[in-house]
Amino acid sequence: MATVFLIGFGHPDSMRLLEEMKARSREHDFRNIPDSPGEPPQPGDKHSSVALIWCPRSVEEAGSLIAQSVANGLPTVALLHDSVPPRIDFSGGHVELSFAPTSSAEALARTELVLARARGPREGNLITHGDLVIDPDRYEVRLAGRAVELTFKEYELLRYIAARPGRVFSREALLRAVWDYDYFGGTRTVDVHVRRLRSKINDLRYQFIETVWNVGYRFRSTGEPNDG
Amino acid sequence: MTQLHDTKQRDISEEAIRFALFSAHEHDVRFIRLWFTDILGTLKGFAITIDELEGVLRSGASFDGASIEGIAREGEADMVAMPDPSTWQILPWRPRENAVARLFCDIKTASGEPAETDNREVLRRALRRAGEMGLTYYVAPEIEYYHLRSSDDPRPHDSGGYFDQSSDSAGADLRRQTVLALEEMGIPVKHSHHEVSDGQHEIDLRHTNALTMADSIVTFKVVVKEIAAQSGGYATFMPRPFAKSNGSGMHTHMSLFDGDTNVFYDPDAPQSLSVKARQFMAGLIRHSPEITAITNQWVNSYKRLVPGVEAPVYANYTSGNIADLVRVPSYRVGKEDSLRIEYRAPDSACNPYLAFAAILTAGLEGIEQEYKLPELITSDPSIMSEAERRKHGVVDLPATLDSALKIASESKLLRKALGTAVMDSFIRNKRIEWAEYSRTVTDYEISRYLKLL
Repeated sequence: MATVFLIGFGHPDSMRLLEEMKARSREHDFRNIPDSPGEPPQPGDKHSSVALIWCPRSVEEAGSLIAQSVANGLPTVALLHDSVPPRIDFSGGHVELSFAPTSSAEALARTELVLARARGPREGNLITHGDLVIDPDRYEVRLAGRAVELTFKEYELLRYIAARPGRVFSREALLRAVWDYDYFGGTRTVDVHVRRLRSKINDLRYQFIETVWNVGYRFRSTGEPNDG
Repeated sequence: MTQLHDTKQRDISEEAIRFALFSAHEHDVRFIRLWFTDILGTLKGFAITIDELEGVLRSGASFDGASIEGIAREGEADMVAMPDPSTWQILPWRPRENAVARLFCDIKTASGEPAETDNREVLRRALRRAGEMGLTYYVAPEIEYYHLRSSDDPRPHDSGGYFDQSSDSAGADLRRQTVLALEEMGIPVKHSHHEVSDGQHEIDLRHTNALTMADSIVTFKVVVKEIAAQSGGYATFMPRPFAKSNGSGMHTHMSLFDGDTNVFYDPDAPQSLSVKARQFMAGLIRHSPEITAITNQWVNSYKRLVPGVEAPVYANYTSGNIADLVRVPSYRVGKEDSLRIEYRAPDSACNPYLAFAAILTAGLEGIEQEYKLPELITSDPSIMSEAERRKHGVVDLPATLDSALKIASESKLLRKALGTAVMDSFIRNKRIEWAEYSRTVTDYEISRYLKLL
């Protein structure tokens, strides 16, 4: 559920587009902002608002409107009327461009796209290595689709190391990261947990946690076959 | 705007709480048992419902500590059980629907201070002492117990022998189920086998820090008893349930590490035993009579600490005997990390928190005071004459709970290890037990004396 602000300067085609989008999607709240050129709405929650800008024909005007919307932190869909896109740097924000004529289906699709990107899509939180998927939002680990039952410390250790594949961690570093409030663990505790983790998450093809002799452990990203 | 979670930025205990809450929701947990132990190591606890979980995880649950052995001091009945969220565990033997989970708790006073009488706190104090010396204490117990047909029919459940692997053995099946349940509970098992006597089993746990291990041993006993009960049987950790069979010991392997370094290991020393290892052993041996009341806390414990059943009887450094008090198990070359010391007095019915605290304190005393390891006695003291034993300076371990208590109650070391509140409460409790036992007329006396006298 998001609020879609149409900035259409009262243009009849923009009004028609908004009505069609409304008819297609009950997902979002569509609002027309007829008279706010150059002043995009200030959203409460930037991740659930989108500015849909019916851009003027002038490339410069369109560019500054989009830039302002992005500067306000709004995901922005720009509906352009020229085959030449405005020359501005969009890298600081989330912008989708569409060239007229834009159908309501396309406008909706681009709205969803820009929203998803701005939200940091759900997949963005998942830590995925081959068959192993860690969902830190739900404290869940799956191996080839099956839930893996872990204790909290096993989970924390896995999440920490799997989010940083390829890096070598000393036992001491892992202890500080995962057990920092626990005074009594000692670095061998890390070994015990790694051993248990391996028994739970290793599949036939991959050994995810690799021992680096005299140093510690490294999480191997997939593609490196199990050689041991 | 990054959504990536980073441990550095998130409080681990808050993460642990959220992990428990998610797990509770995911597994349809309805009841949560709050676990702690009394002064004798007996599991106590009470249940809360899922609705209470978040509040209790954050601020604990009040209970009346007055009726729990050794927990509340005078005028201190209101105690708080404060769950350790990282111990969250669903009980695998309970139904999956409306599942039941457990949490170990620290005991706090009503004002939120750690209770002096809390077992976990006693052990933590000892571990802190090691920590101040830069040392981490790891333990790995070998726990023995008996499977019986039932509590009403306390005969051994099977007739296997040492290391028997017969596939039709009912005992092997029970042991396999037990090991699986332990693994499910997050308790790694190193090794398991049938022990010497009918119905007697041993499960060895993989080393970990002493506090986690003490929690694990408490859980271990629950698991073993639950699995036995499921098959209509009964399991007992009684130190010597049968006069004709061996007792159930809890030989405890231990090592001290400084970071990744095993401080017991010195490649240039004889037997690769470092100076600190020798001092630690010396501390253990010298103070063993004082801590025996803790490692062997029941009247029945002393029926195990007798000659002829593979249990230690003397507080000396002996070698090559099945009844050695302290032993240095062999390890593979290249596996120097596993050089360790084995202390063989404790029985399976000890309170592991207090036992580990006492054992560690005795060993550390040896290091701090730079004790000398006594001369190695290579012959078996139990076949020496009294005079020979005296010549070798052989010291007896206490032979009864009564004499153990006498030595313990005068031990400064034990008082340091346990703290005054626990020490006094423990001695008081055990004196009552001894007094009750002294008044008891045993089967032995009836059969020996009734007709004769």
